[in-house]
Amino acid sequence: MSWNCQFDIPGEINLRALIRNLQELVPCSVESENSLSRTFYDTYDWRLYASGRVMEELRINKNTATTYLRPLNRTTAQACATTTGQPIRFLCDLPQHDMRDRLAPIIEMRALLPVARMRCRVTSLRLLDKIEKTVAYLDLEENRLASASGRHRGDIIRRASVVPVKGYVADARRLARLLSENMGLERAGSDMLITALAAIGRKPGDYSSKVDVQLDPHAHADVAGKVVLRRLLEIMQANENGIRQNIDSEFLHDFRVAVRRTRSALGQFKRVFPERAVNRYLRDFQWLQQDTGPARDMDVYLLNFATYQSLVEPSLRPALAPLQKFLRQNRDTQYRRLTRALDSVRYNKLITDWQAFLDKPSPGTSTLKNATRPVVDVASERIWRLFRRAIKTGGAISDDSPAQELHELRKTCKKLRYMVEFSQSMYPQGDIKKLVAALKQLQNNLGDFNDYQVQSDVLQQFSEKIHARGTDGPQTLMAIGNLVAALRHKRESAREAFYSHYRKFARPRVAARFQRLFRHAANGSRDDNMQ
Amino acid sequence: MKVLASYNIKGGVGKTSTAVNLGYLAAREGARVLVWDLDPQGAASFYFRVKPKIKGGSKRLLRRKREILDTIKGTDYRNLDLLPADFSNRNLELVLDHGNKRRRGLRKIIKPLRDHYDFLIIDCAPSISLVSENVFDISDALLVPTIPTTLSLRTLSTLIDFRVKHGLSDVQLLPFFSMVDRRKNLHRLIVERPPKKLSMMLDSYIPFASEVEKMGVRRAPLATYAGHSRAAAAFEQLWDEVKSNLEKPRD
Repeated sequence: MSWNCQFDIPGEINLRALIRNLQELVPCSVESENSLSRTFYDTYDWRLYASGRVMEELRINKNTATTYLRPLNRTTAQACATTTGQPIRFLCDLPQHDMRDRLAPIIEMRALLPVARMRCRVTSLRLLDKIEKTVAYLDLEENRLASASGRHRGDIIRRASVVPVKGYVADARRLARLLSENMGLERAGSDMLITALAAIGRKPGDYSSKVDVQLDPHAHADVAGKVVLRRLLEIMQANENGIRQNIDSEFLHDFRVAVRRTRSALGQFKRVFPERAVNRYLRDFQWLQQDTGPARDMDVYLLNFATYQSLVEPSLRPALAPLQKFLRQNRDTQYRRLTRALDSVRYNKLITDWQAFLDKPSPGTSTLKNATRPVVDVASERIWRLFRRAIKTGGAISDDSPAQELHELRKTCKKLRYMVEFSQSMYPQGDIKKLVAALKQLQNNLGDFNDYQVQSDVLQQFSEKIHARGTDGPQTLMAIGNLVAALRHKRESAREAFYSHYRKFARPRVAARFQRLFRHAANGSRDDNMQ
Repeated sequence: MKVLASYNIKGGVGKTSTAVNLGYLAAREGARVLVWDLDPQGAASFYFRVKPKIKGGSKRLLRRKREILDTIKGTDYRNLDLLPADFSNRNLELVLDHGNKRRRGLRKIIKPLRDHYDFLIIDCAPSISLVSENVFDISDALLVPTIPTTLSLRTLSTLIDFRVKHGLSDVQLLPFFSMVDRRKNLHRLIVERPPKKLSMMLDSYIPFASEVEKMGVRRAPLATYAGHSRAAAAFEQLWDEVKSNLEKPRD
């Protein structure tokens, strides 16, 4: 239904009286009165909200709950699932109805976390026609916000929601009209989710892994650089808790991306920050990157496991079970190690010092060549240089080139992508989007090539380790061998596809766009680069 | 979406009450269910208090793409919708009987439903015809309520032969005894020892009960007004057995 059919019920209106008044106007009966708890769910990075959906669980008692998925500001559910016992966390906790199919492409591997809880009393009324057929529902709700501990607090939010019945939309509209015209109810300004979040001081979308900073093109490079780096630190800190609690794989992923971006920014903003500090932080963040690597690797192998299974012959698939077990055990060990790293003195000192470094006001004058230049000039210069390096390295790759050369190109492209993303606010959005899209395709190809290479080698090593433990049969060795062969085959296909991806990236139109946006500044004139 | 058809060549065996009650139970579990009343008599529509009328009749329904979604009516139960009957369903045969895909005419029609429902339960008219063959074509399983009498068993046997002869073995046959009167010797005998040919007979059976007949007066599924009755329990058991059969891997 394309209209908002939720109404606010003002405090002075008595619900009983409202029902009585309504019953005088139209035939309707009370269907049920329930006390329940309502929990809104979303992923940590608000994927449901971003896709315009709301997921809410209505729990009648400990054992019975129904979870609904509906569009934001609408009362009609797109899908619902009845679950028993445990709350839903991952896709696999949902019963096999289409709710799972709908959610899968949106939330993927992310965990669903409760974002707001309410205690709720719902009186459901049915609007009836002449033969007492239900033609619309009216849910009258009294919601009281609950804190995370479950203790009640806050005001009561009262709502009336008209829920249409298929094929009887006119009746639902009539009911909605009645509520606004005869009963004087006002349409609700925002979805219950938004209202609930606002009451606990939260806003949907309060976490994102994007470096969406707004930079003033004229700002000194050292000031603007710190804006970017501070945002990256914010992302790292926002994910720390999720890693410690081992909620899902993406906390560590976002954390590591932020670390990698930090290293890249430090390396790229040359002669912007004092060399000694840069070297120290580069060293420490490299340590952090390496220390968090093995845990992420295990996450990646486990996330890919379904794909791995599809790559081996069906008869050998069950034989991959020891590999999965090995990966899970290894992941647990690595996560324990990771938590120890996050608790270490070195990490805590790094973060405290880094925070202090970023908070220290920039001096305004500097002997460093780039520190006080406008950031747009420094960024353009770096981007233009990285682009030319990418073209040079990529153009030199032939069938005889060793894998190392593709790896070098991959690294350059990554640096280029990060620099473009950090600086995106200073250039026209449309241009940046197109450049990122062109770059992304090439990066995906290079990433695939690298991943298949690394994964086939590492899985081969795992196979030897599993074999040494003596927990597998020859079938498992064969299955992993089969998988390694399939991955090597895919690596070759990725390598073959490289040329076409590279040609697309290096085509004159893309090069001209890079030149137009970034080269001028690199040559000293900067005015036409600004928005 | 799983498609179930409540079907029998004979009339008055409990097809409609099967479609309505199983549809209700599935919806109560949270599945999104559509009951399609294909019987021109419109008994399922009557039970759900929906007018047995489709705008433009069955002809328009079958000829226009996506028309089916606009024809659906919600029932008194959330998650449970109905595609009402229409008197023109009696001529469905003629509408389907054209072109070289005459046995697959319904396939295209139900395509838009797949995104919207977990179960489509069809209440068929008693007969064996081109419409039935179309129903077999789209169904995952046929629920065949069978009264434990000699003639009914003979009809079931005819259906089994027909299914084999026409190469329709893709559709799972789920016959069960219905309207079982334990006071009658013959009923007891047949239910306890069904003929060998009917090894696929489900264990659950529906007893003959006045509560079931009252569905016509209450115009509602059994569980809504006689949830604790023996017949209601029998439908629940039947639904569980149907579900576990649907989940079984098939050769």
